[in-house]
Amino acid sequence: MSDRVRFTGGRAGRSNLAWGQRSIYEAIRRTDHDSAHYFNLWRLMAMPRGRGPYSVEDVTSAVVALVARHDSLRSRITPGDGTPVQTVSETGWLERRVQPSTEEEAEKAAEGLVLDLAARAFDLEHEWPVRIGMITVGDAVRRVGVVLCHTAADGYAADIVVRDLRQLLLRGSMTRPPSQQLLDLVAEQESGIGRNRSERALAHWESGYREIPPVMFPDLVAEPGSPRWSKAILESRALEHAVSIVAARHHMSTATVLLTAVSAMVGTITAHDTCAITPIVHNRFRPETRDLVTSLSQLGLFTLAPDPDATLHEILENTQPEAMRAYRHAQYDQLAWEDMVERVSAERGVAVEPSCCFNDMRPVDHSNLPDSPPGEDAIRTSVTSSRIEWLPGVDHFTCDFCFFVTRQSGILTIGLNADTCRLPQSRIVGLLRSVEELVVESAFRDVRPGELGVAP
Amino acid sequence: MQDPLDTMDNLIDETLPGRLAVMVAAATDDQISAADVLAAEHSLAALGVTSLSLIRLVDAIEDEFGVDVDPGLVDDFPNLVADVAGRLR
Repeated sequence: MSDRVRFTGGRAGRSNLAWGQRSIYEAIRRTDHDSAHYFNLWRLMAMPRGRGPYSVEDVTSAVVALVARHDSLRSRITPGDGTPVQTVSETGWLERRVQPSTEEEAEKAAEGLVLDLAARAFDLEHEWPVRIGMITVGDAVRRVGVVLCHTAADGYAADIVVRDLRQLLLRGSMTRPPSQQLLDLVAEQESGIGRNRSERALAHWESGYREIPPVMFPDLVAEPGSPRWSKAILESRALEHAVSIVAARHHMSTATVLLTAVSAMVGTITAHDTCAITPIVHNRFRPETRDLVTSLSQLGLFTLAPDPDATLHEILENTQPEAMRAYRHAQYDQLAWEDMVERVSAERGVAVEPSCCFNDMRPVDHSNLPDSPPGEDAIRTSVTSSRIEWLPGVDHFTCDFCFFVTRQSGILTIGLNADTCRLPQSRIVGLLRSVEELVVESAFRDVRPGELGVAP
Repeated sequence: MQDPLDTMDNLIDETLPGRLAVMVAAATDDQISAADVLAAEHSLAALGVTSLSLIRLVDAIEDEFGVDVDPGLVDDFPNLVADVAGRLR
């Protein structure tokens, strides 16, 4: 059964889009409508154990309270006159789908339902950015799925949304308001403090953009694969343990180790003096962003000068300051950024767009070191059980090289979605394997990225 | 009467390391004590200050003192103190 739920509560307001929202909005606008659902996020909520049962009405009340709690979830975007504007509503409607199931089938049914709800792009102008799915067994709700539009939430915000929904279901209300609201974030970004922050970030970008290769993979070396953009993942327990060992040795995050390792391997298969890679930065550093629901992530710029004689450990020793600058300077006015890119491109006489990104999609707090990582033999042996899997790709995409880090079945997983005309499938696999090998070897000995071959 | 500029210098010299050490501790959600930071026997990263906390610290310094320090160079506490003091003068 599909119907609409009326929500009411919370304030109303109008504003420009926040910087991160604008970058997603532009990305969606450039994507054809059939692929725009790519920008949806979804989560299945863990039902509170040993409580309930909860009826459809109970869950619906919690959803209404959730939407009242966050500006972002009540916001719609109108294109305006070239400048999109968002309107936060006091009241509105959400899509709700309730689907009966059996106890045995509930889990599978929930996954199917949430994927189905996520398979359609949001109508940004007319639809609020939340859809809810519920799987019922008898009168009780067994599973709840939430689908969000990426203009309203990034991955971190999606986790806040399901956490709050669960709290509201358990307790009926939340006494503490969110640390910050979308409309207040926009006001902060448009204030002097925000403008200064943006200008400093853009200064970092501009000095980088004057030096970096205009594009990291300029050469079309192969016929397009099928699909042209192919996406492979490598699930690796060995990498999980090894990256923790290397990160601990250098007092840095596992994300920075992986960002550096990927950049170093890219350095071995390209002929550039500088490798440029743009990590997607969560921007959740300030305490007030703790439970802010919006799309706050933006691209940062990380550069690395490949040194064939340096070991990964030596590279890591030098890389931390640059990584910190990349993370720090990832909050900026998206339009001013586009102006900067256009200006620098015009001056250099070439479009500067490295088209090489890095996205760590794991939850923000992932610094926990395993209590006692297994020994060298066990880690090396487990390399043999890490495996490549191909995921569905697409024939049109906007980035040549998207490296990502995630967790699958509880195991660290690295993946690469790349243009097969520039990186054939064998090279995609070779690159994933070489990053694994570089990090695993570096956990136990000194190794130079150039020592490792990457399949052509 | 004391020269006001001297007083300002004293104020910075006497309190800045203390204030910054407290801010470092806060940036780590007090997982690291201000006393450990002040002892300055190790780099902040070696004390366990994560990159997330270092960026949080740079943001907090900007909010508190209105100065922008290079996030790539805040890892060494005595240097950080000297850098902020220099920018405040």
